[in-house]
Amino acid sequence: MEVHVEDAGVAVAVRLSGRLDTNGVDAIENRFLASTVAGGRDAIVDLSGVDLITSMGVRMLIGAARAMGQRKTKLVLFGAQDFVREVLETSAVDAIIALAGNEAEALAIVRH
Amino acid sequence: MTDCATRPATRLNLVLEASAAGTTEGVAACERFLVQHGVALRARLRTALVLEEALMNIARHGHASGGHHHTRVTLEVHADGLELGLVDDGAPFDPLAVVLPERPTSLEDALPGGLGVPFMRRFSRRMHYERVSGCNHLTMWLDLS
Repeated sequence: MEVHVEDAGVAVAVRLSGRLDTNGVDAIENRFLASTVAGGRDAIVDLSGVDLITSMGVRMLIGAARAMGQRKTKLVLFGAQDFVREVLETSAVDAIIALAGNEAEALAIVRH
Repeated sequence: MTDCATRPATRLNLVLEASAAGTTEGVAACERFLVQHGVALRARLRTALVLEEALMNIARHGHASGGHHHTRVTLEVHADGLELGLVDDGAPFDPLAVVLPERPTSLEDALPGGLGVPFMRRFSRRMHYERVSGCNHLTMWLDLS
């Protein structure tokens, strides 16, 4: 599991790749939270390189989005592959965290 | 050499420690087995998901008294699907009897856990549970496509 962080102008772009399962979350959670919650800026999270997400990964995303909401910053997900999107929909993440199709849409949500 | 001697076995048998490390080991072993049998990526991802959820449930909640425990996992490739079996000696736990939480409508409503069973139910074609001789026996049937 890897995390790459970039400045995307109005937000920080956090690009994840690999499997967001128990092992993957253990490997990247601290860096992910440091880049999103602790960064104090809006964040867009690129899921296009993630082929699997389990309940541990969903828990990490919900935790980050909730903490950012309390700090009045936004977390927007984008680029989820079909299977990952199906898991996110099953857990209702799509109802509580903005889920965009691509990066341009994610940035538009941040600007809105 | 006969075909049955060269063809990989269609059943995988594992004994895993009931822990996060055992879960990782089991998911990786099942993935290798399914790749060996030419099982499609989507079916492999589905298997990895439900297996991780089932094994982590056992590791977290199955053994309140602590100690070292193990889970027996079997995985079979059939012509019409995959059959994943788990046997553990933890506390009785029937995932089919669990009342699923309501879908959250806001971040404040979202609970940090409780997603494992919904995932197992959603991504299995069928599940069967029974408690036999002090052990949980859970079988999940999964699509091949």
